[in-house]
Amino acid sequence: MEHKRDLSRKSSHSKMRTSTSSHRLLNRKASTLSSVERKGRKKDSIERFLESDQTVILSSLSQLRYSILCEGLPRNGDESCPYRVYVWSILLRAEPIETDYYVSLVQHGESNSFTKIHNDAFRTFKKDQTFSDKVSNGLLIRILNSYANEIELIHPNNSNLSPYVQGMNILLAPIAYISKSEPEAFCLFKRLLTKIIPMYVTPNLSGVLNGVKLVDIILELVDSKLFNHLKSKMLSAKIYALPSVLTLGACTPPLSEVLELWDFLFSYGVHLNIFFIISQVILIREDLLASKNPMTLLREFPKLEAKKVVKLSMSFVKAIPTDLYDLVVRHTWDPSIDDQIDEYDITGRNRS
Amino acid sequence: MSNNRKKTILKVIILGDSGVGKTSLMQQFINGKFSQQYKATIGADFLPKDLTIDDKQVTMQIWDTAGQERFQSLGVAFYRGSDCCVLVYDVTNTKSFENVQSWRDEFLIQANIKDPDNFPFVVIGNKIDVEENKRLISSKKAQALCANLGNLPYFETSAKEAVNVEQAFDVVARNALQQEESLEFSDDYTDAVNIHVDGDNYGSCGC
Repeated sequence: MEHKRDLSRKSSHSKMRTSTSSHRLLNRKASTLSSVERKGRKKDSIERFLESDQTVILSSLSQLRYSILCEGLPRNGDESCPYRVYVWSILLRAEPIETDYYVSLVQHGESNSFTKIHNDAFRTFKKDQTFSDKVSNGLLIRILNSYANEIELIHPNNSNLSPYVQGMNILLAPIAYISKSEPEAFCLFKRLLTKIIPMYVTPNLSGVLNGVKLVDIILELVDSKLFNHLKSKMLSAKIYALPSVLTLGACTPPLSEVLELWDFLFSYGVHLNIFFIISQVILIREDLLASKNPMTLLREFPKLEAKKVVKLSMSFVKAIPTDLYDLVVRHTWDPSIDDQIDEYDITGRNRS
Repeated sequence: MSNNRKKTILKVIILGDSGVGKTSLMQQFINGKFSQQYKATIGADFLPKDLTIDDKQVTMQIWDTAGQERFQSLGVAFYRGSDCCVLVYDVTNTKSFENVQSWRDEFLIQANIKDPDNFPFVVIGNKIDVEENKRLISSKKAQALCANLGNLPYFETSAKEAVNVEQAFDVVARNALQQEESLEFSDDYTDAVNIHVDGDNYGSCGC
């Protein structure tokens, strides 16, 4: 295992491309890197599909999504799926970057956010031994700092993206855990933040604030009794759901379940996390309703069970009106929906 | 004991730079234990604790906040209705000490405090368990600042070794209660009080 990790680390220093949007490249990467693994491991249908030639990207993508929905990525005991990084790269359609480019960002040295990053990185998943065995503190700091450098240096006038905000360390953690090289992790992380959830990482976290509003609106819609109970205890989603929205659920252990949840989020859209959060709350509704201090139960959600959460979410997604659903879909990346969400919020309040 | 009325809720908010030990102080006070911190607080977090202050039963609701300034846009919701504000710095971190005043000012603005001169603050210098040579802020320096900010009560604590935490929060609770009672008779009586805790659980003293 050590040997294998060394191999992949070495490869990150060579000039190879670290991620891919084209299947030709993906094929090359997957087959070169997994030569050690290939001998001892039989490839499953998803992995074979990844390595096959695909002509129409969109239809291949939906085929991949469907496989993940039906079969899920395999688990070998404690080991996470060996090719998950390729699946995520493809689903997020992460553009390839040159390793030299990443190295140049590292060489820039400390960003303005370095102290904050340094102060948070070592606290990332601190209780998770499997995580800290695989992902070093230095790696987390380098990637977060490189990202901050890029935002500060390359887009100095783009005030829409925050170089660092607490919680980014948690967003990076699952990516760093599944990646085979550091530039690869950087590439996926950057893609996720700048293209998939850019509204979550604005300086005033506007997308996250919209996200928690949506949690309230939808919880009221699907479980008004629970919503009103929490409301009577002054518990709005802004208070209990903010970490889960910002980190796409990654703040709730165990990591192995977070990875599975993210497989699903990256397949069918990160906006679904809003429903996943509501499901996590509904799963403990009896305890919440019986509790005088529900916040003590909501400070840390119960251990994540990805399948259960996805399943419950799918049962009430159908009940969401189309226009509201549309706002959920857009809230992670569309800057223009603030007013519409507020309007929905107010209409809801008047109704109740 | 005034058992035939709603139990008093005291809202206490803890502010200070990231990593000074706000969550640890809260955990130490409420659960009596120190956990090597698992994560940076995102947004805010709160825990209740039942207390008896001079025969009066109260529930203290302690709000722990994220130290990073990005989260200050959330401030209004978290700060509103506070009865006491705890300002924490780390005795090994000069910057965190220098920021104590700005945290106070930020709080006064965000919480929209009507009578800032009389609002109770308590300052805590945390992490005094470190070796003497790592300590950068002397007691003298801290006391001077507190005097300067209007004779604020000052405590030096170790959340890790449970030094002085109980004592500090006792003063926090008393000051909060005083503030709360002074508000009850004023026009500023807002939605700060009539929250949480049903009116029927008097018997439980959690001290």
